[in-house]
Amino acid sequence: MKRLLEIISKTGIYRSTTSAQTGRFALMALCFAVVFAVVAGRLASFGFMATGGGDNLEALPVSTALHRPTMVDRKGRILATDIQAASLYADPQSITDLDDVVDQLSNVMPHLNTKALLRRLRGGGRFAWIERELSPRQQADIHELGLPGVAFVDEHHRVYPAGRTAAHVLGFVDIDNLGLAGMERYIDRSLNMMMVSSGARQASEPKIELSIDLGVQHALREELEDAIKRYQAQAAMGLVMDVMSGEVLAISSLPDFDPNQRSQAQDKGRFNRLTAGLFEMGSVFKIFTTAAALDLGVAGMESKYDATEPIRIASFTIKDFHAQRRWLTVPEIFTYSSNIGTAKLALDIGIARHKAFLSKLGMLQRIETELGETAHPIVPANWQKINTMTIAFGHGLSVTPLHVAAGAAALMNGGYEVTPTFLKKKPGRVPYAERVVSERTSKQMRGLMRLNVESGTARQADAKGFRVGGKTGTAEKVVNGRYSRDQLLTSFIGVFPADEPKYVILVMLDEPQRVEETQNRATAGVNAAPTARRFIERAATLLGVSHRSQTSQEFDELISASY
Amino acid sequence: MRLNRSDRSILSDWWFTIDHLVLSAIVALMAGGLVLSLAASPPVAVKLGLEPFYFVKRHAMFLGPSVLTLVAASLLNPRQMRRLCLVLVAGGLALMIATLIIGPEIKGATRWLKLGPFSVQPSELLKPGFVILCAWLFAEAQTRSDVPSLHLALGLYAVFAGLLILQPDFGQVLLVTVVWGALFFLAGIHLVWVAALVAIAVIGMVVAYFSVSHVAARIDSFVNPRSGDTYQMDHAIQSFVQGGWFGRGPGEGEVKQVLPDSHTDFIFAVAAEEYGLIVCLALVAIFAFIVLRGMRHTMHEADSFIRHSVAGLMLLFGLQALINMSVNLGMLPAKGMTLPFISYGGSSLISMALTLGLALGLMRRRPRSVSIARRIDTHHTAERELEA
Repeated sequence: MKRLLEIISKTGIYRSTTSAQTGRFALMALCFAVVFAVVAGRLASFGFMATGGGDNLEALPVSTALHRPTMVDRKGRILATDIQAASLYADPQSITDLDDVVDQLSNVMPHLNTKALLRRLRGGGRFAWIERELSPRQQADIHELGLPGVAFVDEHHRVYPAGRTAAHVLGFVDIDNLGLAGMERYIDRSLNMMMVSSGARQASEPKIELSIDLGVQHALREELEDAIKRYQAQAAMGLVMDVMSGEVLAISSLPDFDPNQRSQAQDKGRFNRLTAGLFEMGSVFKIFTTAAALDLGVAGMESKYDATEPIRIASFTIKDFHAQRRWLTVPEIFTYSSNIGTAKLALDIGIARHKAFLSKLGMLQRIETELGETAHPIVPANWQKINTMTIAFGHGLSVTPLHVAAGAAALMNGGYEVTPTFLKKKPGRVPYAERVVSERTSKQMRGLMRLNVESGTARQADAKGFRVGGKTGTAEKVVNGRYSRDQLLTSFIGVFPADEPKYVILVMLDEPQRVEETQNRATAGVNAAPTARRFIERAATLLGVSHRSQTSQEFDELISASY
Repeated sequence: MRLNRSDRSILSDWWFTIDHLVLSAIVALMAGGLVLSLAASPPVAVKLGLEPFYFVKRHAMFLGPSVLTLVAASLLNPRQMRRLCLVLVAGGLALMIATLIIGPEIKGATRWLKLGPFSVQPSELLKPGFVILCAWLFAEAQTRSDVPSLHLALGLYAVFAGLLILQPDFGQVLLVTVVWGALFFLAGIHLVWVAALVAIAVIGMVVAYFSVSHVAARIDSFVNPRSGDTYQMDHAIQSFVQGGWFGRGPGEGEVKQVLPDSHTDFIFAVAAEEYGLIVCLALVAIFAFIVLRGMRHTMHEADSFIRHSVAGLMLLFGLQALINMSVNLGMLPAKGMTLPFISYGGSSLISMALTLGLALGLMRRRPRSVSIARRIDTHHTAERELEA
């Protein structure tokens, strides 16, 4: 040791020449190169480890299945809920014999597309779905096979126990349980109620209470289905709304779809016509013109208008379907559904006031409601005298049927604006609403509606004992740019009971045919109106409307005053 | 902006003499760092109750000053560099002492100094200055005997290492020791002295093992995985296996959710899991390219100060990258060391920009006549001419 120290002390610290030094720099560079190579080699070895496969199934990504809240109708009956179902997936790298595995699986699930599945499993990656939403039986059978590299994961699967019955309100979800339409979409977008699944369901989970009454909804849908058969119509629509709260108790647009089979929902023609369809509504629109005239004091019940001659304006001729060729009072204009009289009423109201009145009723704006499938009305860009005259009887302005129902509810309920909703409201709590017409006008309108059922175009809507009031409308559809005489859209907007209004009902039939039952006629009075009657007779008691043959005396006086 | 070779302005002079390949490699690393911080830092930020992109934004914010530092440092001539580094070392040592006295204790160590909204790690900023000064002293010691250069170098090392031990930051002590020792070795000391120094280093490590418990624990758990907590390492290695060659895809990583320092010490593992081994290999290649190109320069450089400095700076940069990657790969026991330009950390980013800025500046092409005019040590040059 002593000697070593001696050597060190004797040795000069530097030994170097410049060339020897350069050697040391080179040596250091070499060391770096080697270490970098070692790091790279270690990295590469991991790469071969990964492709060599392993039993890493537990480390695979497992999509978190979202758990949706249950939807119930206003009486607590389940409309949509989540159930757990197993889905089968594979880690292709853990499967030694792909063909064998696929072969065995196809024994349990004969519908499997084995070729496509094999292609996906061979596509690389460590995760591939084989089949989503298995039945318990299938799950047990596959489990019995004991295949390596395939496994189950529990996913939430949406079911709609009522099937088609309330399809358009509920909407549907995609395979990952995300809401795509209807109230399902509303849950995702607005309520932020999605829950990450934590296995067991809790009893205290929030439920979403819809305004729908499943019993009423079922009755409405069945009557519409029946109407399509009876009148050989293309489509049928119906809606029942609480006149005060705007709650939609039933809404059905046929053809509809089964939300349990979401692929159907995208078929053309299955959309919700009541909220997303735009129609020139025809004569039912006259209720708004008449209400405007009465409310603005332009006309009284006794005012008379000359309906002897059709009106010719520009290239149009405004004629009456039930032409009387004489002077008509306002109730007569309403019950004979006189286009000429209504157009003249509108002219007396004036363009600006007519437009303002419709705007106040919400006819010119898109309805903001929970459903996303709502359309914006088509309003004439340049609103002239001719527009006011035709819009007066429902032509030249396209709105959704929901617009008409909400507007009618406002006219019937004593004159308060109504915002349609598909969520149940707490009973008895009517939110503050704008007044759109006076109490008096509302009462007069109900009188006219009842009168029209007693002795006007809507006689066939008279469900005995439920004091129905209503207005029919038969609109010619525009085909290839012209109004067609044979392709009709018939509608009935009604209120019941007319003397103490609770509900408005809208029934529409698309292209009903002239059939024997209707004495070869196809107007609303012989198809939409009786459909509404059959529905009301069946559902009124469900809705809590009591059967009483007589309207109140006060109301009778109102009606007789209308004559 | 177009630069002309006949234009002798500072900027165009810089542009035509700088090593474009190394510069590009550095820019690539900086860009890569930002992209990877998008992947690695949000889970950490969320865990700390910050908004998800807090660290990403901070990282991006530090890139500007880093680029400035890089360019500014590479504009300096060797004499200016030495002066700057003298100031840096003096200031840095003072700050380190201040840190020990007033710095807050974070994760059991006092390394940071609070300056307004930022916390600065003085030791990070001191490292490049330390390397340049040591290189200077070793280069001086070869030619001049009138100045006690070696003693100064030894003293400087002792002070720096001592302060690091007090913090304590054993990873940095090791790094500084290796860099200092390597510089000494490069200066051409006799092999007997090399052996003696290695022996001292080994004794130092044994002492550290027995006297500092957490060093012992780290090494124990590395040597014998079952004896200790290898949680971080296990997950890091898992991420390399999970990622495979092409990764799981950006945002698909899971390891970053579990690793506590995924945005700093273990960002390499996060990169592996999400972007795959190919990207990791590319990163290794960029680091290796910068270091080896620097080392190649030292072999051709005649100026003793420059060759030692460049070698020292490359050691600092390369060792830090290698140690970080080796820890991620489970080849070294865990220690807190950032991956240059990739990991989050303002001090580390600026420090590395300074390190490579100085190296880039020293590697600039200098016409001999210019270098004689610009370099200070005229008597250096005279001696070399005599040798030749």
